[in-house]
Amino acid sequence: MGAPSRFLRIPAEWIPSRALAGRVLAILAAAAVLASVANSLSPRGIPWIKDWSHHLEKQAFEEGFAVITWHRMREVVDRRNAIIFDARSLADYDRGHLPGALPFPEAHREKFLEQYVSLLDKGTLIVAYCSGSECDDSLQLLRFLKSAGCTNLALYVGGWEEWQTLHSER
Amino acid sequence: MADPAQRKVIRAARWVHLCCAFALGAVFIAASIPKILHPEAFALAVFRYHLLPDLMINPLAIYLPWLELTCGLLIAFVPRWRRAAALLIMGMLLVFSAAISINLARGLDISCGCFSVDPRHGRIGVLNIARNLVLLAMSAAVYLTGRE
Repeated sequence: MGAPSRFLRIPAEWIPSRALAGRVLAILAAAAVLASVANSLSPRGIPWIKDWSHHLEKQAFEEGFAVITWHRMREVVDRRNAIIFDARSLADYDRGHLPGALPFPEAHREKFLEQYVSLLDKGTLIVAYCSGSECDDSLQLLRFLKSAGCTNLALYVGGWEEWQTLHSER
Repeated sequence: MADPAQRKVIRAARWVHLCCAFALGAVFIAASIPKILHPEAFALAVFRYHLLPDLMINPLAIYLPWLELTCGLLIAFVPRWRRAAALLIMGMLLVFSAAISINLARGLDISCGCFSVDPRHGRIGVLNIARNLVLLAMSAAVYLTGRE
């Protein structure tokens, strides 16, 4: 075997030295100290541990429902290529709702399912929302629609609160 | 003594090194600021990737922006620490690209959380990965053309 070609040899300075590894560790440690101090002093600091398991979005994700955010919801509303169900009460729906949304109060779901049965083409995207990311009426409604045989189901997690806020800021 | 052709190459490498280091510094400092200012919104952006166990979401949301800021400042302004910062930036970019790729493959509709924590900011897409590859090439250039 001859000596390796000079084109295949890695220059020694490209291989991380011990000093370089030390600097990498020092940066990692400095960032940890800065982050801890800033998080404890900042009024916007957040707890180090948070239980995300009750988050509506996590439950929907784990149950196999698509989760859509404001960006995609805007497209759905603009293109009118989905059925949008408002899972809040009728009174809330009457006070304001997403463009094109139909009322489907979770509390009266059996009655409303009969009303919409002709609309529920099994392949059409159905999006449900409620007041915001803390309510779970929309998720309950999606579970109900899934048991009724609908397959293409999605949750707009931000709900009416996010829609209103982001649209008023546009 | 280097001949004129070699001197040209060395000068070009020095320019590439400096330009890439300043550009990467600007990018990483700019990326860190909204996350530092709005840690709760950034934690939600991290959560929406659905890749980490619950216990790691907030620690990462608190830590990552400061790592980005530290690396951004060092790569731009501290020549002796530039290669170490470049190595860490390469690591971060690889992790970010993997996270985006996994969620593109899953078909998740999430915003990147890269330069803004505003949910109105565009969704993740192939362009995010392409941008990360360019940044990765720039940080590799900083690493390879730098001296300790």
